[in-house]
Amino acid sequence: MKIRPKLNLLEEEQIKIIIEDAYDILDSVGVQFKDNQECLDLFEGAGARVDRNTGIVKISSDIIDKALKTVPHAIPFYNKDHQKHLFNVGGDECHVTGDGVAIYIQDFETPGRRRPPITRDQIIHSRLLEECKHISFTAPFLITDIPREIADNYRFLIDYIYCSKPTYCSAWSKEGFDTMHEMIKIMGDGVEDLQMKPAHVHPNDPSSPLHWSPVVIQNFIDCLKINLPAVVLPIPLAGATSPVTIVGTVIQNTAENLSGIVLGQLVRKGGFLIWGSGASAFDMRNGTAVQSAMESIIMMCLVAQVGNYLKIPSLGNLGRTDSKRPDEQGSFETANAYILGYLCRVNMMRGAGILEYASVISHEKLMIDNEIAGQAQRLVNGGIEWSEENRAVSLIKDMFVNNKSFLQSKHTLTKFKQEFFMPGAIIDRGTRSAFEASGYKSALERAHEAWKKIISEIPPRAVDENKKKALIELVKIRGKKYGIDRLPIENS
Amino acid sequence: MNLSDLVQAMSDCNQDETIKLVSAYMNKGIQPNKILEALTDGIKILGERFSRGEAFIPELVFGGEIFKQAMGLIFSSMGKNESIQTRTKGKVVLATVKGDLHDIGKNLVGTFLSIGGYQVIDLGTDVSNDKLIDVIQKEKPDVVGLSALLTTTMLNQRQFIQLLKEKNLRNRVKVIVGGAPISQAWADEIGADAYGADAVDGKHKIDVLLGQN
Repeated sequence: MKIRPKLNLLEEEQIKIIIEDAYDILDSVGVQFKDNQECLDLFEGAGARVDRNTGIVKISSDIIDKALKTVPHAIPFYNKDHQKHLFNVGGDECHVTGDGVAIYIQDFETPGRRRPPITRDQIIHSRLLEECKHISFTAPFLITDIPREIADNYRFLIDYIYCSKPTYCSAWSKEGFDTMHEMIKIMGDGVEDLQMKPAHVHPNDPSSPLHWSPVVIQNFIDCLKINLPAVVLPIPLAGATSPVTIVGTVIQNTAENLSGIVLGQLVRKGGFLIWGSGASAFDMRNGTAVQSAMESIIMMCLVAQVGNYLKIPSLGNLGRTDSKRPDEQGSFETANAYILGYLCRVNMMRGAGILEYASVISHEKLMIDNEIAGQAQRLVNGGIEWSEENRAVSLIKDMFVNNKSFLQSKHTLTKFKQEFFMPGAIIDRGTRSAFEASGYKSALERAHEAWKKIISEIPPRAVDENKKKALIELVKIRGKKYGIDRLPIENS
Repeated sequence: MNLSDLVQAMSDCNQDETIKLVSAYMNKGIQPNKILEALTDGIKILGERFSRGEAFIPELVFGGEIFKQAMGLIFSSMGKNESIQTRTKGKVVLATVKGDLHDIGKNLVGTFLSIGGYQVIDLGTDVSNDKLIDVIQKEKPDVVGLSALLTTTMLNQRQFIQLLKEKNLRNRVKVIVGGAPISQAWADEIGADAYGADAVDGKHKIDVLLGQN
């Protein structure tokens, strides 16, 4: 029997009260869905009270209950070709995700600077994510050597080519969304039942408190229409756009999520949905949204616990750091988040490789976060194997009586890889003399060397040339509107 | 007459005491300008405490609300022949772009500007570029501050500046942009006059644009 440590921050009775409070908010004051008639039609058709002038929708408990009955409890994710099942998101499974909201990159050599990322940076990052065995999803960021209007599709393109893992990423316009859908079809060419074999997950952020903006509503509806797993991801800022109290923010986040769950299930019964939270403490001195604060971690874990109770796959913006460098602060903040996130069963933790309020990407931070994720996985996925063989009482007696070393036993040989997590080159457990001989390198320096080694020694993944060509041509069609005849990736 | 108790109440964010004192001084016939001066001194002290890290954003925001409430009380109590002489550093129109409902950063900029002596016209969220143009023509602000939190809506900032040019208004107003996905590089690319990284920086950049620092 494997014991997998689990942490419940609240009792079941308290979770039920949070849900009841959220139901009350939705029934009494409702949520505003702005400027989208299709959405309002759906709510009205389901019996919700809709104010066509304001877009405010009041949702009664029976409508919510009905939606909750049809949400899938887990989502199967496939590789980019939609052919190989990799893992499920939901239930007791937890996964770490790259983070693509960065608009800058920090180079190891110039820690005081950040610069706009370009094509080469995304290629490296996607290749590194391909090799990070403890990170399950990739997430491409903003690339600036291409017009901003097509940068959403262009980043998918690079990521599709260089990483086989499913992608966490959004489109920024209706046109971008439709092109993204075409790209998915190219990648899944010839696959039967493609919509049930997703390799892409799309975040959709309601605007706290209790609002949905027109673009987000449309993207969300479009996701459900093609059964693209859609995250409902409010980012309430405690004290600014939600109550300053932890439990108050969790209740508001729950109401916002439920409004998305209902809309999602009205668009498509049984459509893939993820219960998200980017709940953050609002820094009362600097006016920043602090996603690495312990209060933020607690709130996101609590929202996930509500999602788990409702049996909906959960996600939290966990693992982000507000440090400006991939330093000690960055590492311990990410470790706090992953350890607690795994213990609380947050099914997806989005935040690997990112600094400074999720605005700066760092290859070194990605490598460090991969190690932290591995150790958190050891804690929960590895767990504690409880069996007579593992209790090893007879072995202890035998070794003592016969004066033998445990290293000589078959028990050690067969069990050590199951019991011990083997860290990568970033973690230094070597001798002092080895440390001195290597030039007294820090974990950050080792992380830098580790990614350089991957890029120089491991070739990019093999990708179907026909698919690659088709993807490039598709993005170029959009690019031509903005004077782009050749994409930077074609020069790589 | 020294209104130091009002200065103290305002700088302490003591709502009840501030309103009580404003009301009492109005009843005693103290000149509205004198009361306004005390309120302004109080809010200035609060701003200085914030700069030193001794006060926090909620105190600043709530202080701004008390100030507005007190001003409302003064105006409603003034006689027909009374008036208040106010001087502002400049007029700033603030808005969150069309399609975007986020306003916390914009609201903070508004608070900092109000406390710093600017006249602020806040158009709220989800504001179309056409509406902004109408307001610019009517109000003739010195600066327009445009916020966007989403990568999906930030393109509206570029379109706004293009529209300003088409309407021959570009030279009549300075434009500052801000928001999570916004950077100096983006501000340069779209031809904005400044980029505000956060609320404090936004106010500072507007000071610089208008020669007020």
